[in-house]
Amino acid sequence: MNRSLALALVLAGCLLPGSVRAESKNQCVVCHAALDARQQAIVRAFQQDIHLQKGLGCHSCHGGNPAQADMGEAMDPEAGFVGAPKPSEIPAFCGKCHSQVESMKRYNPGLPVDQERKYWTSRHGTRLKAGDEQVATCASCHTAHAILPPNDPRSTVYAKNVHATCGKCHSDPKRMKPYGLPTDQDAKYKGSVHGRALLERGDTAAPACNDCHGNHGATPPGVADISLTCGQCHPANMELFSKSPMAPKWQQKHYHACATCHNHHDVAHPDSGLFDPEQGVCRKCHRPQDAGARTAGELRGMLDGMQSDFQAAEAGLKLAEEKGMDVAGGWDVLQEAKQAFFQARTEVHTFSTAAVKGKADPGVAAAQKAAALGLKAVQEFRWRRIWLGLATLIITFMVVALYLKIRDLES
Amino acid sequence: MKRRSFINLLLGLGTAGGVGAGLFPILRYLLPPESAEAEPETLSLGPAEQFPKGAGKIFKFGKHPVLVIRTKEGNFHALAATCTHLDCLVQYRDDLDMIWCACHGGKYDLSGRNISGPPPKPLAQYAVQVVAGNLVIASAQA
Amino acid sequence: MIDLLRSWLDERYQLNSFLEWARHKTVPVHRWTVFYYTGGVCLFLFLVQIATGILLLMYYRVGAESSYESVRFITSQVEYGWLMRSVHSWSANLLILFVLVHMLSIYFMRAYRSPRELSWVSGCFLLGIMMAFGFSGYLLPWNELAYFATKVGTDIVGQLPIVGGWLLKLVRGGEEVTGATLSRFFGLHVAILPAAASGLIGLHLLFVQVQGMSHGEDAKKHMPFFPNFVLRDLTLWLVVLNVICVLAVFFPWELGLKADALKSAPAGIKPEWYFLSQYQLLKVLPAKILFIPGELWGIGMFSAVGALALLLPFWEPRLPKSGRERLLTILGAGGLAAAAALTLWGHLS
Repeated sequence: MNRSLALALVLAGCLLPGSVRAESKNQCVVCHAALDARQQAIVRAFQQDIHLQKGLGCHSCHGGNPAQADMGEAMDPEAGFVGAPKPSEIPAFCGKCHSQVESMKRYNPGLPVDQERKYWTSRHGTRLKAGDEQVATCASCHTAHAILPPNDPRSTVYAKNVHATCGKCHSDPKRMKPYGLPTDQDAKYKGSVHGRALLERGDTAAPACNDCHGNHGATPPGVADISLTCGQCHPANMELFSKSPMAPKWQQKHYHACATCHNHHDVAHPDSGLFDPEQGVCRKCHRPQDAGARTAGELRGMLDGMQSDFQAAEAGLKLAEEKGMDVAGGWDVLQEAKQAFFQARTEVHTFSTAAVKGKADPGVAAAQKAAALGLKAVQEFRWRRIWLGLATLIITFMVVALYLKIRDLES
Repeated sequence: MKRRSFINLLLGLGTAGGVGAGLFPILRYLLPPESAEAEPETLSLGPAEQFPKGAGKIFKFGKHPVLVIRTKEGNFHALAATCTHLDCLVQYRDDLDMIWCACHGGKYDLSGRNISGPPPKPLAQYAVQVVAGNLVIASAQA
Repeated sequence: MIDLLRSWLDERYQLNSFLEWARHKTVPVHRWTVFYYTGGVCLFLFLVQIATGILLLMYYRVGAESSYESVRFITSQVEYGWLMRSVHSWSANLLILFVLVHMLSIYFMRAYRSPRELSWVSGCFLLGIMMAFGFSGYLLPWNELAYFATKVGTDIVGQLPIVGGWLLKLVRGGEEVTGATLSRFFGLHVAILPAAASGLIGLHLLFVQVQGMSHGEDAKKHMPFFPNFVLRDLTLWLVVLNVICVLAVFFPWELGLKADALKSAPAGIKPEWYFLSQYQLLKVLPAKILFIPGELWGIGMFSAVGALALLLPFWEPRLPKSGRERLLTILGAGGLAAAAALTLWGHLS
């Protein structure tokens, strides 16, 4: 009861002639801060909004006159007040400024002005045009009143927050049901090599949803484009694959290049099991005994060999380190092996055992050298003890001889 | 043998053993190991003129791989060859006149500044000089 | 052959009179004779330091870009380099420990009394030199711990009124701890301090030889210095050497990470144990006491304790005779307990 009384008083205040109120105040804030919780939240959120930071106010988007205390006059449609836009109006609403070179130049000359145009080409945009008001518009991702630049960690479109922003709708089965879309992309992404690099390791260079699907023109990549999409960040893999004998054959079969083996949302850290002739992805086309399957088996053997060499060397160096030995030299050599193995793993996209072997061999040699250094350090550790034992023996012998000598002297 | 001379013999033996046990590690220590220096301060790469223009090569500078580039104009650059993103080896691309990492497409300019892609930091620079016709690289601080 | 050499030397340097003197030198035997060995152990450890120090110098290269690398090279590439470095570090710590034990035994035996005042004073200076050795040597590997310990340690100098800023620059060779500081500490550690220590040790030993061991008058029994005492000394030195080797093998001195001025100090950074009591005192003193910074009080306290200790043989005889021994024992035990408690506190906190 108290609240509605207060509300009534405030509303009455707003209706008073402007001369009674202080001129300098933003009248939109004065009144909306005293309205219901939703309106208060808008006022609060807007305090950190980038538009406010750049000197814009409520009226810059919504029109009206913030200097007018009289509600009727302040929010007079005749004087340009537009109020809250309907979803179908939002792209144009933001585009009023963001699609205009002249207005963007004044505030942020570096920002492109093609977002609205791109948006209308996206799945979201085409559906909105067709009258579907359930789809995402600008405000769905950027929020309406707490808009922050994408490099601000608090922003809904900051790299680490993008998956949750998209997931707000795309992980919601109720919202996705009418479109027949799956809702497991975010869950898959979070477990993928990309999601873990970005979300767990904090490598903001790792891709979020938008890095593959586009920001404003969000679309699932087409069959032909998927390797281009992945190739943005994996250029060597893409190049090797597109030159490989597989590329034309896969195109005939309409296989999605990269995704055929690596999947899409749940791209796993590739494991040699992909080449398993029995369980791996090659069996999609190759029978367990044919030449292709044999090659796959050989590749798998090489990858496993590299990995076990690397792990053996790593374990050996760790063991030496646990024993307090300095094996910095060994780690340096192992780093060489790691770099060679990176290259060998990339080289599997040629599907040529000779090419992979050429890259892997120096790495195998380096890994074995590192393992030998680790082993040498462990042996050295044992030697130190043997040396100490010998030294102690000799010293004890001398001490006993000295003791006898002293006793002999003093007897 | 008298008791006293036996004790003296023991003492002499012990002393000889002790001196030996002490000298052995010292002499081994003084013998320089295979790589005679901790970290080389400079590395000579042979006649500068023979280095092909518009190409880059990776050399080992002590333990660290270093990418030496000669531009088409004939200028030399030397940079750490390990990508600052995930430690892959970078390469010089003469078509782009840039340093490029094949792993995730990171790019650096010829002074090592990271200009696009995932690399978070620039590549460390090494000093390059032509001394009496020979190309010599040195760690930048030296 | 030996006789010929001896007479040749005797003609020129009166060797025989020296040998004659050595033959007659004795060591008093009593309850506390065991403490006479502590001085010998200090001498032995100092010799170990000189020997291993010279060996380390064969590969060590001072400089912000080479110190860490060369120490790493010594410990990982050079055969027995690990041993030389660990022995140098362990022996340094034992040296300070034995110097302290030696001093305390002299204090409690009242062996500093007339006519041995100067032996005491030179000994105090030697302790100071050994601590300076420790502080300067700690920086030389140029690792993270050393870098920050030196930064914190030299900061204290900067707290001094008037001369603080100037002195800080003098010690660091600049405003910050840099390669310039490293060069200074290196020069101090391998040239100035060894020269000063060798001279003072020579003097210290000369005093003992001229005046003989303390309590010679009160002891009923004596043992010849040569060979009886020397052989015992040697035996103990061998045992100490063995202990150092065991420590070096089972607890090799760590090198850690290379110093990086841009990194923040690692958590829980502490000085070496022999600076820990002073460090802890500075840490627990309030920021201001009577308008004077707590650190200045701390520095004042160390200076006062140091001056009192140094001048002990001169003020102690003026104390009233009655109850003097009790007072000295209480003072010594109290000081020792306080230092031990502060060290332990510093270690645990």
